[in-house]
Amino acid sequence: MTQLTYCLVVRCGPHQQSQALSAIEFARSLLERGHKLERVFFYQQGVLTASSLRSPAQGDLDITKQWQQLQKAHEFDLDACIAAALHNGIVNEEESQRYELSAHNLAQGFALAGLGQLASATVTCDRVMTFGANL
Amino acid sequence: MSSLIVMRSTPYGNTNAKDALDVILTLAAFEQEPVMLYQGLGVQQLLLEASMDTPFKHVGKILGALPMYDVETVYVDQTSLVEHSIKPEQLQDLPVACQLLTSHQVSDLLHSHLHVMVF
Repeated sequence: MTQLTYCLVVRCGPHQQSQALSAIEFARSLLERGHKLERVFFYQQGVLTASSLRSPAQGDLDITKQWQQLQKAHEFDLDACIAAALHNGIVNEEESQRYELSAHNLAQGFALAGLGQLASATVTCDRVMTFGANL
Repeated sequence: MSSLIVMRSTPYGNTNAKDALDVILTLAAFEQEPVMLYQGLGVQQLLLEASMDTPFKHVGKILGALPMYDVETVYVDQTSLVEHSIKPEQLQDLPVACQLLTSHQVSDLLHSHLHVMVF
């Protein structure tokens, strides 16, 4: 079997369960089958996945935690688009200081990245897949 | 290996069109030669005259920047045009050339790209 390198683009928020779930299930499956996951790029509402302040209702899956666990086991990049993150109130310590905000909330394991990181993933990855429905 | 960006959202009421164009301009700046396909409600993005009063920036001006990034031609799903009662003549004055594709050609285009991003 040929090993392929993947980049996943997640456009939907973590509360849009079925789409957000499809992305992580797909990631799990490809890793189980011996493929490589290089980067998950969270864009648009997807950046909300990178908030450390999410408290899903009891019984709901914690998608943020699931990504963190998967990343720990397989080492890939969890990148949140920095422009979308700033729009949606997701900041790391550095951006929080830059914009003089009262707090920072980027979840552990996630990084803020520019669209250039997505562009570079299209060069290095064999496959780029998008998750998130258009309403 | 070029990326195919599928524009499938109406330009009204959400920022998908703008967010997709940001990705396209970034890819183009990195010389990745992005390929664009307008499909479904996305064909409404090509009606620059129909700009409505919305708080979202209209995408028309960004389309004008595409030739500067070497995106000269975009693909348009012919079936979607018919579904949305848009005549090919209405696309004549766009800053980019529109090449109409039949359903089979759309299918071929999707199959020929390993990097697909849908907005």
